[in-house]
Amino acid sequence: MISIKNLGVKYGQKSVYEDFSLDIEEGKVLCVLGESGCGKTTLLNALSGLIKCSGDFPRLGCSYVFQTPRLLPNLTVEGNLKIVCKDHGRMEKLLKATGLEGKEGSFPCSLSGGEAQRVAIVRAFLKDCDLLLMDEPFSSLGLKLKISIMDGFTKMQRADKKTAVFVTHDIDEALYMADRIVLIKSGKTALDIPNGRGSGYGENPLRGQLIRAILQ
Amino acid sequence: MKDFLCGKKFNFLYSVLAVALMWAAWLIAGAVVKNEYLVAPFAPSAREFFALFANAFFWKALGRTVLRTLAAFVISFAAALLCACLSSLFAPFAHFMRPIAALFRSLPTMAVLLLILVWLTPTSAPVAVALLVLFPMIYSQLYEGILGVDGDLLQMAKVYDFTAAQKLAYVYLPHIMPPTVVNVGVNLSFGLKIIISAEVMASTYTAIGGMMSEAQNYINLPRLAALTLVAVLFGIVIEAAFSALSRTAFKRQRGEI
Repeated sequence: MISIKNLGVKYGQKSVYEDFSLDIEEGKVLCVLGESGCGKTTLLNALSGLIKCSGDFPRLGCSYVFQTPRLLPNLTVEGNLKIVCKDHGRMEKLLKATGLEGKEGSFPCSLSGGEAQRVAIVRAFLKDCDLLLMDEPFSSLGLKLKISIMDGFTKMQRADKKTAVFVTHDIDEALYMADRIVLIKSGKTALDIPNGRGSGYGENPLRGQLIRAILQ
Repeated sequence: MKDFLCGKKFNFLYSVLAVALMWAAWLIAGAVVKNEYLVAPFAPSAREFFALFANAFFWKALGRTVLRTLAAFVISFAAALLCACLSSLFAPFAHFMRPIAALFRSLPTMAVLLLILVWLTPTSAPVAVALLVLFPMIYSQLYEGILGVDGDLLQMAKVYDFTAAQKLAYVYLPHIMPPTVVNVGVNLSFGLKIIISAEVMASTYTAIGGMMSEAQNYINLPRLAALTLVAVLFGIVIEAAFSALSRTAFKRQRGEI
């Protein structure tokens, strides 16, 4: 279990988190759900050390899938991945699992949005880390592609038993991907529920409960 | 009609048209003024222009002028790069540099040259003047370039534990290189103009500026026009070469080559 206790983050005088605590179960996917501007990205940035914060939690080695792929434009897919991990066999395996085989020599400018985001996910999986952070990585994708990439992610996450924190404002994404969902409102936990990942996309019975909690 | 006129195939033609117009303006001015001591006549100027290339002294002078330009550029670039790096690493240094760069930028070049001529020789004074003019320009270009590096990529580099060398090679250089290469051409061309102007003022011997000064003293306008044309052509060639290099760098950055 990775425990975050008394997390505090301030932007100038504005406090985004104050005494915020969260437990992250190892080998599972925790989804932080919340409306835009509630501090989801701030939480990931604090956990990854990208912003200054106070609190009691271990300094973790993190991988991060950002909202945009953030690939190095002057390197090929292989070049982008090699910087993170030299294990060519593992790279090939993950590229195959995400349907990117044959794209090793392509430059980011020649990839579609979905392909680039999959490369970003593969890069995150290639890094040897304690925690995988994902900031609305599927928000810009069409439904079919989104489900296909989420399935690819789940496959890789289960095989590697990676611990992941995934933030989104999309209830269906949360219900489809997460083992546990934490709803955040104004820097506080409003709801914390376990979730079975068995249901199809948009068919989870917890959907209604989450919508009511968000609207409350 | 607009689409037809804006077609890419005409681009070269428009450049040729601009050159032809400037040439025509020269011919018309010559025909109207009808005084070869006021407007250099075209035919003798053209003869002087081609005669220059058979003149050993001209090549020596051109070589020295180019060497002075390169020396001024290399010294200013090295100093500006060092200062831009320090400014981007330490904010206090950037504040320290601000008034220095502003002062250098606002120096009246020719007045400074006259002062510098008191301390330095006519061969080294043009280099010093060009240095004072180029340094603040290059410093601003490099500093702005470093500050403009994609913050998202820097965050990614931090999360994925890039080494300093990796950050430099994969994040900073690809962002800074293409505009820097363009600016090298522009700065070299500008440096050449400053050096030649300073050489004229200082009457530097064995220099294009010195030759211009001599031609002016003897009211040899065709020679003056020919030397001016050499300086202009040289500046254009430098800018065009670095612009082409920059396009290659941009394409490489985008992975197109």
